[in-house]
Amino acid sequence: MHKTCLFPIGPQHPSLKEPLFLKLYVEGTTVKDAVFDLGYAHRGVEEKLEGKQVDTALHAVQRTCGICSQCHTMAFLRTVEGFAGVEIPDRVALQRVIVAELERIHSHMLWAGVMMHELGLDTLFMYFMREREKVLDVFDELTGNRVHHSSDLIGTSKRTFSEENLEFVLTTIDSIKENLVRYRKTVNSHDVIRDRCIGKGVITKKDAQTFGLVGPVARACNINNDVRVTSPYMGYKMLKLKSIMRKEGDAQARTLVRLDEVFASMDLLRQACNQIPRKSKVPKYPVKRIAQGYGAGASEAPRGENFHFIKVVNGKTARVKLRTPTLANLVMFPEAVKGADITDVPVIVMSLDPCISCMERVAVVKDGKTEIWTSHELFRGEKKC
Amino acid sequence: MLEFVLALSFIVISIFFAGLFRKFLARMHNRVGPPVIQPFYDIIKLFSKKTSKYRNPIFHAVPYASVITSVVILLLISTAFIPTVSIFDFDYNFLVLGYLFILVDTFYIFGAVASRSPFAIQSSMRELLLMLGYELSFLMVLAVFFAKTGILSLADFDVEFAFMQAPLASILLVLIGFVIVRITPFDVVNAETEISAGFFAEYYGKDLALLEIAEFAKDLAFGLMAGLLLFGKMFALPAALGFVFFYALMQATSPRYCTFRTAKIFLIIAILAFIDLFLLV
Repeated sequence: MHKTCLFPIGPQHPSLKEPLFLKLYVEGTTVKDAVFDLGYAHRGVEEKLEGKQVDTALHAVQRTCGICSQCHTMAFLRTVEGFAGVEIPDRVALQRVIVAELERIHSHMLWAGVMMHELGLDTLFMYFMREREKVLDVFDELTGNRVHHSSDLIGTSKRTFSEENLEFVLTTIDSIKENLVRYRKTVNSHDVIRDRCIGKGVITKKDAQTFGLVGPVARACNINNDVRVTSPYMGYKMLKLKSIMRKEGDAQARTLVRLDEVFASMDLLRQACNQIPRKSKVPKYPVKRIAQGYGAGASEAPRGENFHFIKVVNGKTARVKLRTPTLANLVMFPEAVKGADITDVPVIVMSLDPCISCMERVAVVKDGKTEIWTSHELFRGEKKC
Repeated sequence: MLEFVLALSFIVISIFFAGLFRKFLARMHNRVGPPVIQPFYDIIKLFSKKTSKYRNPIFHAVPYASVITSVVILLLISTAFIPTVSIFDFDYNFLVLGYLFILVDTFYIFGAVASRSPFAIQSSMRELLLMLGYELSFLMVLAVFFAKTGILSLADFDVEFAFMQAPLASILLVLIGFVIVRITPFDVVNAETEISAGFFAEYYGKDLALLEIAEFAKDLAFGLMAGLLLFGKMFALPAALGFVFFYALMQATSPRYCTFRTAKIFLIIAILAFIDLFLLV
């Protein structure tokens, strides 16, 4: 009989790009149980967002995540503009979509590169990063920032994209697509990649529904939960989009869903660049004062649904609750690696695309039994920690 | 004295080859990469660092034992090129060569188990699993080469382009090299993203520098040996350089197989090597 022993992955490990302590209880090389230990990158985002002017809070929200900065902005603005009744012109709505879809491309490129690194194929990692670099150049051109774009304000955007900007977007995505077609073919047809990914970390549709998974992880289990499709917002209302879904639910399906989403995003970018009203400009002045109100809104980040609950009292944020997609998918991590070989654990974990630092939250426990935040308390927006 | 000078020059050449490997790999990745002499800087820096205070004599003895064994392998191979190194020149020394390659990996396993690191222990488990496939095949492939040419000692091995006489054994030798030199798709023993640094997870400072030198020397030894067996004395060094390029190319173009798939492949390789040897006998 095998003895169960602890095999630690993290908090510092070559397979993890952010600190996460994955305790694997293994028998031989098979994972029998897994526990995730968090708290190594907690930044107190929600605490920092409380008691701020709404436009100042937007500034902080944009910096929640380095990869999905625009998606946090869109979820925040969708919520705030929604309860404040602010109408945005088509140009602003489409400009926001352009930045968000470019963000999705660069996020998926980054993820695909890291996934290839996990599989030991560093060349493709470098090639994906090279393509991603082109997207960062577009961000630089469009917004002036490569990572935290900070391109939007309440009711408007900071600048009007010129015709040259839009042309640059289109030529860049054409250049990326040319190479990406080859990379996708390699990923889909390479024997070793298929051997390492097919049938690994399988999540059934039922499990995905039970655990409430979001994003490409759920779409790889044939669940259509793309917020852009199920509940279109901003410029997505004007564009034609179809969810990319697969049925297999394994690491290979998740990989292909993400790569295909890049092509879908390129299509959306083309639509947005063509439909953007050429003669209009973005409103000169943003909405500065929002006295009070509360609401919830979601946007589709590269990893899945990005949910914001915002309550404004006396012009200041009383409560901002951010539920990032990794927080929704995290519950599946231990289940996905159970029964896997140690060799496959980094591949499975990476296929779920964790983004740790924007997900980390503190749950204060009362008497060691009950969590302080109940749904009722969350709705009321009371601050107790 | 000659042996000492030779050993030192081999160490320098092996570190230089390691630098070349990194440069080739970097160019294939489409990046500039470190300078060719970067491994020298790394080793000098490691020697300047403190050694581990972990009090286990085996743990600290393993780096010395590995580096000495690797250098002995190189000296043994050098008998084919420099006849004056007579101490290693004896009949059937190619079998000793095979055993010494196994011995280096055995030392690594001792060090890994002594370190008690879960990563190192996983690495040694993988090595033990693969050993059955590749070490045995390695010995059998060596035996095929020497049996086909009818030569008993490395010093007398003056056949050129022996790969034409033993094509299957040549292919198997190149495949076995993937595990010995730790190249994808068969580098499961030190798969960075799975088990960190594998055997060397707990080593640092001088001990790690010695282990790195042992690895580099072993890689050069394999390259020289494969060059000698496949292409002959004249082309051994260029062939070793060619192997550095070839393995860099494979490292750049192939992902890593999982452990059990690698073990299965090497079991097939062992069977093929056995058939090759059996047909010869």
